[in-house]
Amino acid sequence: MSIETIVQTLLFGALIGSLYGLAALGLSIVFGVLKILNVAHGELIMLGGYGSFWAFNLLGLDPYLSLLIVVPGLFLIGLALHFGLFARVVRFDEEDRIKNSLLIGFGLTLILQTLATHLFTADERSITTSYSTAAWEILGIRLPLVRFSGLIIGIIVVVALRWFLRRTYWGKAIRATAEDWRTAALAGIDIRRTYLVTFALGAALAGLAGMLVTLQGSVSPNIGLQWTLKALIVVVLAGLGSVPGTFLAGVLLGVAESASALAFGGAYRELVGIVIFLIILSIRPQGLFGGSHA
Amino acid sequence: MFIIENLHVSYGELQVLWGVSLKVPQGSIVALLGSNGAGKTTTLKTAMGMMKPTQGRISFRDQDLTLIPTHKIVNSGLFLVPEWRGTFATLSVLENLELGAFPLRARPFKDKTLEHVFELFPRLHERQSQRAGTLSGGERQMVAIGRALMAKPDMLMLDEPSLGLAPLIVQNTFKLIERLCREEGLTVLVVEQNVNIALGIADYGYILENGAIVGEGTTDNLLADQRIQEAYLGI
Repeated sequence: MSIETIVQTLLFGALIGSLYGLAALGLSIVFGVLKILNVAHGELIMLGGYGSFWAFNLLGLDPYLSLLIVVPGLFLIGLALHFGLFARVVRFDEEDRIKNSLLIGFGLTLILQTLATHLFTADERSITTSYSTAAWEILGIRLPLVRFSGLIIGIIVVVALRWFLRRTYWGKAIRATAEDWRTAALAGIDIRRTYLVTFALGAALAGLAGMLVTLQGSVSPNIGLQWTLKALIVVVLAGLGSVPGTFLAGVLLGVAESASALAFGGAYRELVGIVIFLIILSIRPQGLFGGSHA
Repeated sequence: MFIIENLHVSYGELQVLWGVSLKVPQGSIVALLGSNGAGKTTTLKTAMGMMKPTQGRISFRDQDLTLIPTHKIVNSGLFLVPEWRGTFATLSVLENLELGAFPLRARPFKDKTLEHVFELFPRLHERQSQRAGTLSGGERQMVAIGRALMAKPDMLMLDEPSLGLAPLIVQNTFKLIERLCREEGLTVLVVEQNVNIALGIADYGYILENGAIVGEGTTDNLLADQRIQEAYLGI
């Protein structure tokens, strides 16, 4: 095996991993603040993907420009889903929240998948632009631009999200609510509104990830579960509370997957994530970066 | 004037408050005294909209607060420093204080109040970038009170401010509360098990037992009352 092949494979892993990281950010922030697990997060990614696909096919909109529609669109869908479904769950105590959110999330998963199949058929769809195959080549290593953009966008999102959480009143309100919602309420923070905005923010991030997933691969009604699973592994790996940590954990997972593909062949790729998941849960349940907070 | 009238509160089947009534006149310090489990904390929680009464009315300056959400009550000028202090351990001291100014009524004064809080607690100025979770109990108390002041409240409610603190720190805390009332016109309702220290600064006191007010009076009258001396002052 040449050194180029190894570097190339690991680089690809890192680039795919930045999508894992982006997919996990939304799930992590919703889990951390609302203490609910939205297993339909992958379906929101799927919806974001379709949003970009149709914007490209019907309106001729460049996928990156389509984010201007997809991200606010998913934000609105997030508002509606929280308002209609999850707002009822967050009234419970924290233990009951998880259980009830799982039930609602699984139901939502089925509904959104079926809806997408009916509306868009079960076909795999992808976006092919003039630059889809463009790549830089450095010392024999190929760097496909579309995949590289995932890493760049991921870093921009991390910086922006961190700034929002640390510097703005709303961001601080979200962090305070994540730590202790009772005290946050006593500080004059409207908890219900914080939950609503946070959930919608998580959905908007899913929409962003969905565009990149579709641009780099394809979208179909049933991609949700695999992305929820990846996001969940990343959240467990990273722990709650650190935005850069979550993204970094995504990249690490991507690299670990491709390293294992190099070592044991592609068949074991998917297994690596699950093994990491189990190891982290048993030796460091707070995650690699848990508790470092935004 | 802050008024609680005939407050009844239940945790599920278990009723804990049975018609509690009390008044806190503008600019005064009122103490709500009683032993553990008497319903003091429940009274404050209900006043802050964290529990719903089955009966009764809470009002502040003629504004009905019953059944209003907590953040709106805070914005109307009431602030509670809870028993668990209410500092955000993962946030820095400065962030904790800034969050205190979250209510819209307080935001325009944020910088000025922050200066004032740092004057009152120079220690917090030194430690502003430190995480609140790493502070000592006394310092966390300073953050809790500083955060309350940042909200620009007209009335401050304190739940067991002496809990778990060294006697000297308790004394300083109560001196400060008294000063904030006498010099800055803050209205105060303080809930305490430590009857001695609370009556040391209060104008008026209520005795809560098993969810009902069983005695009330000016500080001097309460201190002179033999039943109270026996039950709470250990004389």
